[in-house]
Amino acid sequence: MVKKSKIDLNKYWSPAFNTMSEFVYLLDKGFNIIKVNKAVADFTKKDESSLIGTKCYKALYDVNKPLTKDCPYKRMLKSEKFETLELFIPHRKKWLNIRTNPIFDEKNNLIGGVTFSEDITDRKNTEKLLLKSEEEFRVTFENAKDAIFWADIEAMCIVKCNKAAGKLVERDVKEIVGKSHTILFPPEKIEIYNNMFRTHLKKGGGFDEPAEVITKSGKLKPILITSSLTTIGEQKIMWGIFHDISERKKTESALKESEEKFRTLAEESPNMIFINKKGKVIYANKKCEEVMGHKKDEFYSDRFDFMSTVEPKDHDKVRKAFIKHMRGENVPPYEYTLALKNGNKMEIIITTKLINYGGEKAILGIITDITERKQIEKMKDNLICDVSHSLKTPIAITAMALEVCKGAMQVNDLDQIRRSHAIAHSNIKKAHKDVNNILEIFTLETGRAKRQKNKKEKISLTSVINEILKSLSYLILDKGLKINIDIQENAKDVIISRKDAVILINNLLENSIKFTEKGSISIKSRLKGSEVEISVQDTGCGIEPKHINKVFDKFYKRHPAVDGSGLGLAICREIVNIYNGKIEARSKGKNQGTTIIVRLPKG
Amino acid sequence: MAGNSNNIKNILIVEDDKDMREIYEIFFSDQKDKYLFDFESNAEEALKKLKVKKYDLVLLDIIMEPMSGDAFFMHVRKEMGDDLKNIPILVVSVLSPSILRQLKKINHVDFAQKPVTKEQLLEKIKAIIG
Repeated sequence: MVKKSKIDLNKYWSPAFNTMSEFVYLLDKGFNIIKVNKAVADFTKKDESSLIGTKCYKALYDVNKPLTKDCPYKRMLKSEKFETLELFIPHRKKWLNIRTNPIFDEKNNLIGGVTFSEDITDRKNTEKLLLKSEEEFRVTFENAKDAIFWADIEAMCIVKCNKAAGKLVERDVKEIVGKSHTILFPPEKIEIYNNMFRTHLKKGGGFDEPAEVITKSGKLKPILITSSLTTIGEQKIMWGIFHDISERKKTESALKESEEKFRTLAEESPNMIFINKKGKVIYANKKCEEVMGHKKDEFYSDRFDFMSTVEPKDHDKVRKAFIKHMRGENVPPYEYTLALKNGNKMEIIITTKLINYGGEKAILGIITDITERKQIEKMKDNLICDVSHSLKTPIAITAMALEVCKGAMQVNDLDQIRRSHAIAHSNIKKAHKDVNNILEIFTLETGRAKRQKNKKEKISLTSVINEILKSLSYLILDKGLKINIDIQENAKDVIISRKDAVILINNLLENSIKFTEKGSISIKSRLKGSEVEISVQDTGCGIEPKHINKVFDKFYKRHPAVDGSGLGLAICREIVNIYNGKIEARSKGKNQGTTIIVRLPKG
Repeated sequence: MAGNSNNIKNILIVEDDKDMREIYEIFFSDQKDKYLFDFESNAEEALKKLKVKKYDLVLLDIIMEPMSGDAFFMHVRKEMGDDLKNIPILVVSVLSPSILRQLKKINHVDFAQKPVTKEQLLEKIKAIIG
């Protein structure tokens, strides 16, 4: 039997073994090779006969003892059963799958074994790769910041989701898996979303859509769904990545809010604010509309020329500043004249800044009206002019009088000394008074706004008039003038600050007395609506009709023979203006007397 | 020549300031043998005076109301008849020399700025009318 089988083995099995790519070898109990197939011979690059009798580990791996303590052959010798091992051969960089079977003699004694070794390096590598990619996928899936859901389309349930998915809807992952997708969405929106999913499924493609999820506690969160269809094994899977955009929405709304805030600030600013991009106005605030006179639509129209808001004389200045800005240079605030739609002009100062608007350079401009400042500057100039104008004459006369006085003193001409001294004295007094009057009118003009805030009170006309008449009594007595006072009961008080009342009445009365050589001065008050009309009528030199409108001008002198700064009635007009009152002069002509009429709010 | 009434020159002083007129009076009180002065405080009245009396010179203030010295001046030079339009005018004003020079450009006129001394004035008068 044994002999016969030996023959069979050699004759029939050897070719079969030799065609196998697996290593096949027969070993005795001492690991010695009894027989190997061609694959082993090829692998070791030795012929079969030279391998017989050598240790299997020496022949195959060129080592002097089994490669591993876990050697399957060794185990088999002990267990006398089939043993197997997958083994890595480091110096050959190969994986082998080793299977070994015991061989017994007729008496059932173990005499050795037959071993098959298969090169499984490729399979092993693939497995490793698969494992690696599986691991990678798992890690990515689990640690993804976005929520990921897998849903089985046919079973209509969620089959898988990650931690972030649980966090998004505030549920445990276990709670979600196996449930319908409807658990994720607000009930009132499910129908809409189902339609959305269906539409996209029909198209077979992936999609990105904004949606809302509902958390376990009922909180709604805005999300962006990226979804697509795939087949895993037999399952048709729809996967979805839910990107939580609540933070973005929050940021967006905060941004919107802050933009809104700034827009409101800009809109309601008392200054004109605009943005100019490449010569085109892309923003202009309410004040721009109000002042310049163009509607916003006009500003934003393609036909609108920004330069049309600039007076031609300043075109160059503005253009140069804009160019300088676009080059990135700083431009300090500068002044120019605005050309308003109605043809008027306005002095302004502009502060500009280069800003980024929609990714492009633009110029932000803030315009401030400086008309008032310019007016005050002009007033200051006028003041200097007024002072020098009104001081020149009395000072020149004083200088000349003193010169005369000096000469007279040398020759002891007492008459000339007396006359020239009197002239010098009266002119210096006049200069002093003029300066006071000019300063008075200057503070009235510049401080009009401030003065409006002065304490206004109910002032009794009778008391102010009597007080002033007392101080002027020497002039009245000197000329022998008759004073008539007629204050009506319903028109005895006016609303004015006490200081202004005294200056006003004093100037009116002093003026009348000055121009009246004989006769009378009549002071009357009457109620006219909500105002009190005060009139001061004299029988003096009167005013010619052609000059009647000039009497309130500064430095206008009605009569060259009469001393005065020409400021009295100008001061009266300034005071009346502060209280939004009226002042008017009436005269029938030369030597026909004058009446000055003032209206003030009733007290 | 002093005392010869034929050689006495007539001068019209147009000046609205009373004190200034008084100073002129003092200035010229010792010139009565050479010059006769008429005073006028209103330029419009002065124009009338020019027509009724022959003057050799006008001393003219500028800042006056209601008619100013320069208006008076222009009126004389443009509106008056040939016998009057070239009458010598000496402007005496507090205005600065630059403004007065502007006036001089318009037509023959001399000027003096206040304050002015008696000697300066007499020198100018003498230069114009002798």
